[in-house]
Amino acid sequence: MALNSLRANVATRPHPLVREIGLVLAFKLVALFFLYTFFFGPSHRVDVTPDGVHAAVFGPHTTSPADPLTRPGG
Amino acid sequence: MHEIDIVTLSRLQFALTALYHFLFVPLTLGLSILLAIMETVYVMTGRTIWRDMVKFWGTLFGINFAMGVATGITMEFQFGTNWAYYSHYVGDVFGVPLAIEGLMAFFLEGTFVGLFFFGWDRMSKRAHMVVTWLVAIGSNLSALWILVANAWMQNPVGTTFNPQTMRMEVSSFFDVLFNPVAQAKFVHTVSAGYVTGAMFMLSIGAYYLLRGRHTEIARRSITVAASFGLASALSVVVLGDESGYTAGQDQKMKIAAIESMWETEPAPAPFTLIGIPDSKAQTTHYAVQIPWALGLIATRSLNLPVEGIKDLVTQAEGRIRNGLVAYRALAKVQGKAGATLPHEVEPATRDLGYALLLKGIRPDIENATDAEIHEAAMSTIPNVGVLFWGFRFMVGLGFYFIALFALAFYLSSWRRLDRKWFLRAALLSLPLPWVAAELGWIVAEYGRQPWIIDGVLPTFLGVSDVPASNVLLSLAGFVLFYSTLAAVDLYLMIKYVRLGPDAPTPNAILHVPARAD
Repeated sequence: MALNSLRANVATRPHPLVREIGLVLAFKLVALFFLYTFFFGPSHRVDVTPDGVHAAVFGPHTTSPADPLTRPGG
Repeated sequence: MHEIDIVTLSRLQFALTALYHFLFVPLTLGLSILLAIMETVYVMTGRTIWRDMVKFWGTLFGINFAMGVATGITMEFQFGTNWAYYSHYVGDVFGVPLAIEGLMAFFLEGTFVGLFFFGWDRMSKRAHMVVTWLVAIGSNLSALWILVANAWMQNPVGTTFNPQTMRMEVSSFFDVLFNPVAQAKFVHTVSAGYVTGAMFMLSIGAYYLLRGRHTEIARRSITVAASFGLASALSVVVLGDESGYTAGQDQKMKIAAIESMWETEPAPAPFTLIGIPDSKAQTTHYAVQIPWALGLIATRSLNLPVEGIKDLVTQAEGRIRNGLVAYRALAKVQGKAGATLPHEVEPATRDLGYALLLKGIRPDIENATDAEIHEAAMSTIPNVGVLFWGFRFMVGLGFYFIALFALAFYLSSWRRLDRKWFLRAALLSLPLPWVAAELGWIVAEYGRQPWIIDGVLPTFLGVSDVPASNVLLSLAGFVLFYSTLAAVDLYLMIKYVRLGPDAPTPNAILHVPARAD
């Protein structure tokens, strides 16, 4: 009786690795959600149009390789 | 105040995520093939020890897969935000292979990985073996599409620039797919993954033999790893030579920088085995050279020269001047519906990217002085020291892997796997394939600088005009996120290696009645 109960318990309990991986995947989803929301969501993107790219690539105001961290907005 | 600019921050963030993601990829590529080989042996012989091996190594494969999955998606985040101009400029070309890779990874690979773990008692032996092979094939095909996209950045073929849409557009998908750089990179990279998988099995097998645990499984694992690893390590070197040849054709500056070769050497050029590169003095001190070797690697001939950095800079100056012709013409037609470039200007458009290098020096590049053109040409030289040493460490490790796997093959063939010094060396070698693989990426990507697309778009022009503080904060977030994952990954790997093959595998706990074959 006790053995049957133990077997049933073991059969329904998830394997430790499945539980651990489940936790890691949940942590990953939450971390990625926050990173996306706070830093990469649509509100953080530059509006890209052919004219915008032309201005960025051919226009006078470009992202200089030596642009300091203190640049406007930075 | 800080002198870190938005370009450096964006590059640092992308490099960090790519290097971290690539910690998982080689093991997935190699171990998936090894699982398929071992399961095939099980199906052919019916000996259950091989099934136990597949289940044990499959558990470690599962941990690696679960830890690695979605670590690459952060690069897609960055394309849209930090690299918006680049994404627009090349989206037509770059998007297709990345989308196919997404489908491969999420649908083909993900589905069959699920079947691999939970299908042991639900499918016949043969069906499960087919699933394992499909996991391996799916993983390797994912790598193909990523490398097709990456190779296009190294050698942008099969595309034309449309000044109206400001985009590179695909003119021949066949050329993009069968780009020689992509083919060479693919086979070189997957072979490096096979070496990683083989070293993983060899090292952990050696650990068990040193501890006197699970010796039957350990011996068989080492035998499989030794033969597969030896073949793969030889392939990495041979196929790396092919990569060297393609770079010698299309990325001459990268080859010259890897060699720290400032002057054009008479054919056939010697290969610098070791030396001390000095970028300031533009020379290599104490160079020990192998005659003819570089000429053979880079040109496959005895009479073609390998151009040195100084000559390539002079050529870059000419290309900048030529590109300025195209730049002026494009500035006139852009935004005018139906306007096209004058026919005589079209050849100069292939050098447009070189003219754009001047944007890092002055905004009105049409008025660039000779000194500024020379400065822009000098910026085409990547970091010689990093490339020189990165390449030599990678190649040195490649030859070490050949020696180690050859020794393992010999000892396992003669049943002499009780040599403690060998087992210790095999165990200590565990991290080395990852070191070699990461160095390979650094050489390939750092060697492409200053270009984000070789000869077409300078890296600093691909970066979005986003606040640097945002990139700095998200970079800190990535470091925290990836460090946590790395710690958990190491913890789980060490825990399940210590538990060994006797620990029940996730599928064994489900107790589903076995299906009759």
